[in-house]
Amino acid sequence: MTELQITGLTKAYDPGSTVLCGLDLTVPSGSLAAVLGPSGCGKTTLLRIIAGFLRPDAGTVTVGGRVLSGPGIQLPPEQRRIGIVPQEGALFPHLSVARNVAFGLTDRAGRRQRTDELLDLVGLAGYGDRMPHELSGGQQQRVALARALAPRPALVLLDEPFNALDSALRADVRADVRAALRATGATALLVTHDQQEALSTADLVAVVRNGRIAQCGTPQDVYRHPMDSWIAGFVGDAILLPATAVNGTATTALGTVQLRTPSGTTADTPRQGTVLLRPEQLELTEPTANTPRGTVTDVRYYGHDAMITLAVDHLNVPVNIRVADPVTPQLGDHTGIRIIGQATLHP
Amino acid sequence: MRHLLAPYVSALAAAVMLLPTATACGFFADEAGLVIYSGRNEALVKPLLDRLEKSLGTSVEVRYGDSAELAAQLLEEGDKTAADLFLSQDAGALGALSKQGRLQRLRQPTLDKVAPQYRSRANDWIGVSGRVRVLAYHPDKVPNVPDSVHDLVKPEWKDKIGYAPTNASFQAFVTAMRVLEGEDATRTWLRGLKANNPKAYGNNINVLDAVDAGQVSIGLINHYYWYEKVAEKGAGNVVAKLRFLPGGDPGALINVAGVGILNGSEHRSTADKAVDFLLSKESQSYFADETKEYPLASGVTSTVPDLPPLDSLKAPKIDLSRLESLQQTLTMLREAGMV
Amino acid sequence: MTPERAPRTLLLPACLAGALALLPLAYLAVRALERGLGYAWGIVTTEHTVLLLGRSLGLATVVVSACLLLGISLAWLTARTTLPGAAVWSVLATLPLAIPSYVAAFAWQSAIPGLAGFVGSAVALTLVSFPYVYLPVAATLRGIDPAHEEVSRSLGIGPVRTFLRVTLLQVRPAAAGGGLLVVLYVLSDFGAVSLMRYDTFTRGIYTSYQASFDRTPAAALSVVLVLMTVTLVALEVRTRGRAGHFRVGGGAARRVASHSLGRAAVPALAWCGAVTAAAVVFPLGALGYWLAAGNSATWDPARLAHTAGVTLGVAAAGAALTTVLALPVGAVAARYRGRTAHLLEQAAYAGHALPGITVALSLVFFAARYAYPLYQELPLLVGAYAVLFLPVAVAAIRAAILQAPPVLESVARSLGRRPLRVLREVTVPLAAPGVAAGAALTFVVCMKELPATLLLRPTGMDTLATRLWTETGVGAFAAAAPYAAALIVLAAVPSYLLGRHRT
Repeated sequence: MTELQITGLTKAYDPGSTVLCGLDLTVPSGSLAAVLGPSGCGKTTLLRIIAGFLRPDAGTVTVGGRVLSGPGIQLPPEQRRIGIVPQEGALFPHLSVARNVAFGLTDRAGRRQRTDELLDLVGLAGYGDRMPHELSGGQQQRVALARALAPRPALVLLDEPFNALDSALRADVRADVRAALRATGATALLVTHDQQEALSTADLVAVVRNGRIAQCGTPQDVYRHPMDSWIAGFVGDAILLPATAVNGTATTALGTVQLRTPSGTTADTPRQGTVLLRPEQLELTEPTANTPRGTVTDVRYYGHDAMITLAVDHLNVPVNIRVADPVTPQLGDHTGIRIIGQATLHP
Repeated sequence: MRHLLAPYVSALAAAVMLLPTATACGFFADEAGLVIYSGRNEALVKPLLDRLEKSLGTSVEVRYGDSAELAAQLLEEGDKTAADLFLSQDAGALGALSKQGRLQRLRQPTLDKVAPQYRSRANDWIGVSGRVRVLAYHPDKVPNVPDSVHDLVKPEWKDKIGYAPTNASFQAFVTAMRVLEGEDATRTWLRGLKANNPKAYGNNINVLDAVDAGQVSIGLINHYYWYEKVAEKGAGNVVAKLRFLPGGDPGALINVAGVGILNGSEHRSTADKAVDFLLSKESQSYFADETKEYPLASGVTSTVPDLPPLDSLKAPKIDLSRLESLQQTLTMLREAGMV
Repeated sequence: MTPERAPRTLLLPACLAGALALLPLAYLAVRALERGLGYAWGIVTTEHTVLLLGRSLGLATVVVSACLLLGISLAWLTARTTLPGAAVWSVLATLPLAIPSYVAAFAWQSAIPGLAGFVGSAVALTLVSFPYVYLPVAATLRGIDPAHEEVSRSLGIGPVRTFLRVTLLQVRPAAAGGGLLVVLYVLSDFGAVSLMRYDTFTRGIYTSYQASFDRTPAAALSVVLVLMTVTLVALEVRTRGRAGHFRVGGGAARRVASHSLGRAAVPALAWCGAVTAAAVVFPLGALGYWLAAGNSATWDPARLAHTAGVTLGVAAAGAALTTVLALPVGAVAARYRGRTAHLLEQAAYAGHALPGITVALSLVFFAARYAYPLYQELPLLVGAYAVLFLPVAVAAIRAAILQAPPVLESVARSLGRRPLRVLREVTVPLAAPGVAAGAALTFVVCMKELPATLLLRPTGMDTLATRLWTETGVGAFAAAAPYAAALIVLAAVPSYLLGRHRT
């Protein structure tokens, strides 16, 4: 089994500027976890420590029970059995595609077969004789993955691998990479600052903030139940509304909403807090006297849907609402608003 | 760790393994024969040393270089030196080796071949050929040729003198003056010379050419440059004339090129034979003819036309080993603003 | 994704190379302190020593300034403008590398005797050493991303100010590296200054050997040169700043746009022509004169061919060993920051300003005592070349490795390769053109080397440079000319390839 387990990882480049402070993370064997965080949060440092290019100040890294970094132990990168897929692939420009893939295969006997197998896996069978510069960006990225997977690593690290690809290609390559990883059963860690990429690709999303894991869970979990408003805002568009909660129902400027965890909000003890709503949780209605109302101040059309920005009475921040095509509201329209589904109250 | 360094280890191993092969192929110097370090130019002495090889019947390896640099090398090599013989351009380098105890005493019969003033007082090196400091002058411009270098500081010679202050033989002459007449007298003479605004040239040949062309009236050189020029161009085509200074003037210094046997030598008897060969009639004549220097072995005289016999010269009496104190001379030349 | 500390397997060979380069320093310490610190201090602090130091630094300052002017202007004209015949000019600009400083000085001095002294030395040294600046700057100018200049122009900065504020800044590390080699070259040069009769520090060291037969003063003076070198290297490292130089982003580099010279083409051509005439045509012309003055007696083709063959052999061995030793040092210097990497680079340079005689004597000292079987054998001579010219190769290799993205090395390590194999299988092939350029440059300087060759060659062996020395020693210039010509022609081949080389 190849479970990745990280405990108490600490790293400071200079005294006083700690990059990682006691980071804990567990990625179960065979799953793909995304490490999501803003730039400077320490995710690249985490990746370099796991790969063995950096020595942590404290903490341990184990893969499948084998200690790679820990007190008195620091295996060099070449002994870790960890494959890496860097940004832009970083294929060896002086080697053919096949020789790139075979680079990590030391066993002469099965080399040819394994190379073909992997090129096949990433959908590039027959490309072995090409040179890297003869491939498109997406193809290069697939070869980079094949190269990382070829020696059957215990763990694969992907460092923002889709950044350089244009958006149309990105989704395809992402899906292919996921499929390839699944097919080999490798445990994988994807580092990214793109929340869509994290949510759509990973089995597990770990949000990093200030050198620690702020939240770790399934994509749905992290998206729907962020631990705090910062995470909420980081993993997706969030509408944060001041609210008063009584008996499991919160009252906001946009109306009332059912709380997911009503415990503690009885009639006797109303609680003040912030309610988080996602843009798709709001619906436009006919403006009536009883519903909250707003004025359309901006319409951003995306084709499959659109984002409408409203100025709402009694609310000093604009509210974004996602509406499906065909989009009818026009700039300056007056409209009513209704909340769908449940929400969480944050203190 | 061993296999991590494999590429380096194997490269080194290959080099070590190739070394004896290369040696066996005769690529490197043959260890058996006589080894000579020669501060005298290859173009000059190689034909003679080829004859030496034939005469000794053993191989002779020669390493050519600058006399002073070879002396420094011999001092660094110490007892480990492969050199048997050091053939030096001047007495100073031999004196330095003698002072450090790097040379062996020569056999008495060998020493007896050369007059005592042309060999080491410690009897560990011997002069092979001699060269005399002289004045070269342009006869049309110099009606009264001076009798001493001391005359050259007189005002009448202002702007008329050519010399080569960076040249070793000029510096050896100044050193001789220091040894003979003292530091103060030499300093005064140098100041006086400098006050006459002498023209500095790179070497003796340039000085002689300048005298010959009348660019300067008089120049300080070694005698053989003039005889070589005459041999090359014909007597009628050389305007400049030579003045051999009388009365033991420091300007008439006779310096020598010489030879010594190194302490580390493992071929003492061959080395002795080699020194004797260099003092033989054949070798001495060779130096006399090829370089126009004076043969120093008794019984051999130069056949170069117009060359005054060695024993007719009135050279200053000086221990040539003392020409080794060049450092002070350089300091003095520097103070005088000449180098 | 580079490890913070250099792996031991890379550090160890690098330290070995560094230790070899430090041998002369150990020797100098032994000799300089032989008679106590006070004696050495007394020599170093005489007025004359200070004067010589001032002269050397003055000469180095003038020569390096002139080299920067010539090197950068020619590099920009050939690499970034529509200069007619740019390819030809770029080859001509590297050819002076093939001309030994003593040959250039001799040519100038015999043509214009009045040129002796400071001016003559500066002219001769500048004209033989400006390619050290030209080569790295031209390579950088060809490789830099034109986007920076375009952004600058779009922000309303004119072409001249863009050149000064953007382009010049981008070539600064390359120019500083080349400039450092020029300064060290000038400090260590003996041939040109002695022919031009200009007393410099190095000439002082030579004179000290010749005048006193006492190695202590020469060693004490040499220590001053080492300290000066270390300071200069530290200064040069600071000019590099913290910027990485490898191209960020994938795909092929965009073809760098050429500036149209327009009417300025005529003065530009005149400038290139004048520099080339002075640096290449003139010394070759002088040689031609002596060649023509020769006759059959001075012309020994068999000997010339044999000597040329020997020269090529030892220079090739020297270049090979130097390059192999420089590889780990260059890799560590390019990839790792920190004290060890810095010290290593310093060590590689430390002996570079030393006159050849000092380096040679130090190897005489060690080999005669501790490695006698190697003494006066080819391996020791080749080793001396490595000590003398390690910085030349390190500078080229370091620059070449900086151009190769370090992420590729990380990938190779993650795929199970050990550091040395990464160096061999990834770094070296990627940096190959630059490494080859470094090897070619080392080859050229080995061919021209004289003082160490004289002392350390196997007895009886001759190179073109030692033959040249022998023949000129008896004033046989016509006999010397074929050797000088052969030396220049042979050295011109790698120089030509360097000029053609595109990083």
